[in-house]
Amino acid sequence: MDIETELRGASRLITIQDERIDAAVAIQFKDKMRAISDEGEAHLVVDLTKVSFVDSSGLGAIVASMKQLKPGQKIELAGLTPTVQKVFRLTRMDSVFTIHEDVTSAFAATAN
Amino acid sequence: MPEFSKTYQFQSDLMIIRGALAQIMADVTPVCPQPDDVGTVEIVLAEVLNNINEHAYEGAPNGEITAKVKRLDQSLAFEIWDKGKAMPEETPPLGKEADLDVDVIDLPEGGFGWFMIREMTEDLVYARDANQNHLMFKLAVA
Repeated sequence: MDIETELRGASRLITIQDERIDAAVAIQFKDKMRAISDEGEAHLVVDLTKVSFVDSSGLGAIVASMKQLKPGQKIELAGLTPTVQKVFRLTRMDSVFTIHEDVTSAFAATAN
Repeated sequence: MPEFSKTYQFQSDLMIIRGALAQIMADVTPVCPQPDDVGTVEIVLAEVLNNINEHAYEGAPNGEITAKVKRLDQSLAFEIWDKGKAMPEETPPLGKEADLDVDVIDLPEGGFGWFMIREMTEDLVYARDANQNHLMFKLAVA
């Protein structure tokens, strides 16, 4: 599981480089996300532009990434591809997460 | 309607399942003109195959899985066999919609799989025959 992160002011941009967050990598994803959120930035943006597929295990790991945040931290998602969007819509997880069109709009929303 | 019928055999290791799924998707994409239908096929098939790894074979990587895919007039018909444990009470789970009206800490991290399978499949039938699980379902495709 290849994840790159970049500090942007008080925020951290988390770019998922893998094409899939599925059962084969869900635990690894959750552990890596915990290490990243433990760095402590208040605002985390996860860029999913390169992720073409998320299954229910991957979705569970994304939910876990939110549950393991410390008080005052928030996580937002950006750049959901069509099949990933469909999984979020079907499970109604699109009502639980703040989802931005892309990374640019995620940071524009923060600036406002 | 494009002709297509193919049978796949592979083992229950999660990376092997990932590879088999990629192969099936590469094969069915040309006979499914709508990209949205292709996404649905991948979501459902991934859930069904991961469930076989997790529940029927309890994570064992060397269980046998056979998948047959056939293009019908307005759907793809799937038949999946494995030799693992039977489904509880020999019935596929109902897959209830998760309760999301809860505190963040209580949000569900699982249980989405069968809900999505039930939402998107048609004519889902499960049978336990000759110590095998046999799951049949259809997915509507244009």
